[in-house]
Amino acid sequence: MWDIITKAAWQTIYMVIGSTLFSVILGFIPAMILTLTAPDGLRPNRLIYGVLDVIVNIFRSFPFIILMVIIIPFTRLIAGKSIGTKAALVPLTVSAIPFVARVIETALRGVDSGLIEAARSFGASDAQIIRRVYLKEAFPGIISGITLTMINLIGYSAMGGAIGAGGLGDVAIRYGYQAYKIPYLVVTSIILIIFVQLIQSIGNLLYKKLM
Amino acid sequence: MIKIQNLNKKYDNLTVLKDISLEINQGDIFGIIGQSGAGKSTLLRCINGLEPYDEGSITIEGKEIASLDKRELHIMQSRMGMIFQNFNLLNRLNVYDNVALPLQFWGKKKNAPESREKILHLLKLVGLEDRIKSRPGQLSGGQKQRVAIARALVLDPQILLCDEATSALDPQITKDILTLLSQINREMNITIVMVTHQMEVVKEICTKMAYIENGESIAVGRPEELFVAPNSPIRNFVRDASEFLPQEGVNIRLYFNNDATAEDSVITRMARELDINFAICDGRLENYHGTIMGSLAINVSGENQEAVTSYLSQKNIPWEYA
Ligand SMILES: Nc1ncnc2c1ncn2[C@@H]1O[C@H](COP(=O)(O)OP(=O)(O)O)[C@@H](O)[C@H]1O
Ligand SMILES: [Mg+2]
Repeated sequence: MWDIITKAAWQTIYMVIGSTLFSVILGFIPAMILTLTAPDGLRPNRLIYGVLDVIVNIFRSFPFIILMVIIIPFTRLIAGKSIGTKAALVPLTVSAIPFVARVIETALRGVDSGLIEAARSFGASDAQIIRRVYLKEAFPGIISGITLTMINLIGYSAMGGAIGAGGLGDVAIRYGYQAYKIPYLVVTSIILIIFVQLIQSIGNLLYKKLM
Repeated sequence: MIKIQNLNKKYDNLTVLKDISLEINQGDIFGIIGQSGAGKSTLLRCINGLEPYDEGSITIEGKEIASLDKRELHIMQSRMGMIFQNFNLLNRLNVYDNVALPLQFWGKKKNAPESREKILHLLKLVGLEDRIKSRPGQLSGGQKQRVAIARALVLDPQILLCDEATSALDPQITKDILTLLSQINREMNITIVMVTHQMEVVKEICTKMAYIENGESIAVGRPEELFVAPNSPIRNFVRDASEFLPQEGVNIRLYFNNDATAEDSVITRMARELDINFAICDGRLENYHGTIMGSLAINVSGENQEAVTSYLSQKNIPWEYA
């Protein structure tokens, strides 16, 4: 049992960390564009903001399990195959990008507009304002957004079994639920709870430290 | 130094600035006063190039703000420091780093010897040399505004723009900040533009002022002329709600400056020469950065009205019906 669970735990960690990493990098771009083009942004642009806003909403409203199936051709294109732990990174990342975009946008737009105005009044360029004001002030908020993303991804990764990605959720379903082996169910659940707690605690600690 | 001519600005259909013309000279502490919503902040933001304007012109040392390209505008902005009602400091930076920020915008290292020297010098000037490592959250309102002042001075501006800089502060702290601002004006020869809705602020330090109402400049002049003068266009703004004058007879307010005793003798002489009685209802003295200005309200009976007003006019004493 322990061999199976240890392997599955590593698969979960791999999927969560990998997809968090990619989705944060890729979600950051739309978040930044949304912030800049928002009505109260540095470069307000109703069209770009509106279109991107709708795209993000559409992607967010897809249930993960459906998204995973729909994008199988895309997964194959990127990962070379559509089955396995590595391949699961693709749907996990794709599903997390709009979420990341939203939480980072929220953090960035939470920066007091007075600070932006002050920076502009000293002749700062937009790039300077992004770097030294937006990112600086929003950093703790971005960290708690990433924490939230990771916790969501733990939940999504549990469905990875559907495309042969393994992971703790898969073990819980196959061994615990379908084969009715209660210890598997209990142990995987406990580990998942510990993961979530751990990530949340580290996230909170970082947030406090950074504020 | 700053010349504004026939400035107009609209937000959609709302006209915010109407045909404003002002001239602010080198070394002035120029007050822009008016009710909330009058357009004061918008005017200040136009001067700083933060906001475009529709018609008219703003020139700073001969350069038209609207005609500058992005780069030139940024350079112009670096020569105007700005402070705000809510201080607008970065909460995650300590006092030193907040003051260093504009230098960093301009590509200077915050710990370079010359940056360091300048920042420490300014923090000393504003009296915060012992709070260098504090975060804004650990400071009082007055201290935050001092940090903001140091930050506004770090690029060696020629002009300091203040938007309601003391409106969030207690009266005593306000006084301290105003004292600091006049010191900066005097010692560093920095022209100051103060936007405020607080009369006290203008009375305390401004050498010139403009009164703005609904986006229009109603009156421009020296504060003592506008506040303590008969038939002033800013009467409505400064009228004292606590003023209770008799309903009967005629109330006349006369104005005098500098020499309160002269006024005394005018009153007594008038009583003697005209041989009439009147009641003194209200008298006040106000200090305009050193100049004492005052006014006195008297109540006379209707039949003596003509005699009193012609006497005052003949003696060249400014007066109005109150
Ligand atoms: N960005 C904006 N968009 C639309 N209306 C604005 C904007 N900024 C200010 N206004 C309006 O312009 C008028 C003047 O505002 P403001 O200059 O802030 O006045 P003050 O500083 O004198 O209180 C107000 O009626 C305000 O609602
Ligand atoms: Mg204002």
